[in-house]
Amino acid sequence: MVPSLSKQQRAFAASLRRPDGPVPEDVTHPGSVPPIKRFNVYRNNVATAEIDALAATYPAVEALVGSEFFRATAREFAVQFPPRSPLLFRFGGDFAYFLSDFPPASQVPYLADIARLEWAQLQAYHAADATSVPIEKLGDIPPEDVGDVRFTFHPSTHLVRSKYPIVSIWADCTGRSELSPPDISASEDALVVRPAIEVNTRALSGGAGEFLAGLMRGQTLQSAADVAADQVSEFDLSLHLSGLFETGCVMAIERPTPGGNR
Amino acid sequence: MPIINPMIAAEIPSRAGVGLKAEHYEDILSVKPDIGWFEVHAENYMGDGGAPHHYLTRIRREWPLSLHGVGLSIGASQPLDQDHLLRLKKLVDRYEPGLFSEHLAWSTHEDIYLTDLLPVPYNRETLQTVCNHIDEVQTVLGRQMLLENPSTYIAFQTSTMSEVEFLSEVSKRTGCGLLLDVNNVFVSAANHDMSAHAYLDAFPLESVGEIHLGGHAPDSDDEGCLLLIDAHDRAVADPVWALYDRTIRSAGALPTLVEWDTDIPDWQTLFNEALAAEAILLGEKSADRRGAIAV
Repeated sequence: MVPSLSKQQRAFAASLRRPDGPVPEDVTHPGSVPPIKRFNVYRNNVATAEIDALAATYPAVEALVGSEFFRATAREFAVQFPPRSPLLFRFGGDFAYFLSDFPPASQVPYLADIARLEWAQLQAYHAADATSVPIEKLGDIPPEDVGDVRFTFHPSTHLVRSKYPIVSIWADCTGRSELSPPDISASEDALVVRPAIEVNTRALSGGAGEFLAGLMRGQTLQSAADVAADQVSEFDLSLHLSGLFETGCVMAIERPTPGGNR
Repeated sequence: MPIINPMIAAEIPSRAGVGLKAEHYEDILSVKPDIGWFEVHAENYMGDGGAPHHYLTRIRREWPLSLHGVGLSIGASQPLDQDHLLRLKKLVDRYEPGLFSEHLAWSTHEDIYLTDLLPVPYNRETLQTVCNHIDEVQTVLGRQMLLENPSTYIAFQTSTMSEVEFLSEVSKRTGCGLLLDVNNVFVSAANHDMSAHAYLDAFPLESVGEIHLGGHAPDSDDEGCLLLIDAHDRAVADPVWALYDRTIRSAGALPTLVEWDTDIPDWQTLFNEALAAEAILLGEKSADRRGAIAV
């Protein structure tokens, strides 16, 4: 009986993802043996496209572990977390999670955080376009209301928090800095934002990560600053506020609603 | 979002174009090469914003654009991905491409994207499925599409017609045009021990709206025989140029695209490939596609 297209494609897809399995039954044999090498062209095309997509998204992870280890890891990842969209730039969002629980990668404790940073950079690269507002816009707010404003962030804005100096490590292993290997006892949060075409990555320290995290959760300027100051006694609000605006991550300043809770 | 600056005409001329690569954005915009048109993989421009749209918008202001889908999975037995179809519609509305094409292949099974263009058996059931899907695409996009002949490494016992018979029938039933990939013809003919000339003699050239050229890599099969891989990783091979020349002599000048997707060379090397295609197109009258191919 002629297998229906649906059954045939189910068998074909299953064979594709089973590296040592037989070729599907209805594939013709041009010679005397089953055409494994021919079928493997498809298997290789699939695996290579998956691995290449991950290598394009995670160059710093690849630089940290070496190409051979990276490709073997990427292959294992793709088996467990295959692409679920024809948009390949959506593939690989679980890579950091996978690395955090992948014993062979445990020797590089910050690997998963570097992967989270690179995933954030890819999201920023494709995020919607929007116009940032300059810090001068805060001058339009009556002084007594400034503490109650909330910020809306540029769609490309991502905060990646880490107990490792992830921005220094990332810059080092992607050739963006000449620095010697960083002191991994220091920690850095990363602000990723793409105000125009280029994706920018900035290290946050001195409570700036805590401050931005509060603002991104929708806290008022005053509450976010208070939380940051609780964590870091020398937190410098005006320095970090102008630092945030300089990155272009603020898209709008929302004034407090008249009569709303202060 | 409409493009604010006026774009030049959408229609793809019967000249050579190349597949647009991010690596060449800046060179193209500064050199402003005398090239007929560009083609992009639709899926690379389905993000919300940023560099891809920035550069494509600037390039579209100066050149006609063709949109080439690689992820619609037209040959799958399962229904088309409606979200993906709507994303395509949005891109078509935004960039007003002169041509839209996709592959006679499948790439999605259930919700897994298989990252390759997989072959289908050529029989009545596949024909019906493919025609239904093309009807749906053409209805949603509100325009004609072109369907590309695949490069294949295996064949199916369940095929009951030839690839050319299959493609001819799809074009006849749906009114879609065909994208003739001459390198794919060469690759598949070598891999299945068939004549590329016989394939082209039988091909309904009057339905062809676009030609693709690309490079292939040699490998070997299970019997130790030559197996060609459609790798798009090098220059177009001499016998493929010869087949192309023969096709143009017989069909007339047609929009011709050079694809180079892996180990991407510098801009000038890729542009030289387009010039080589243009040298063959030069002097041939443009194939009249009005009526047969509604642009």
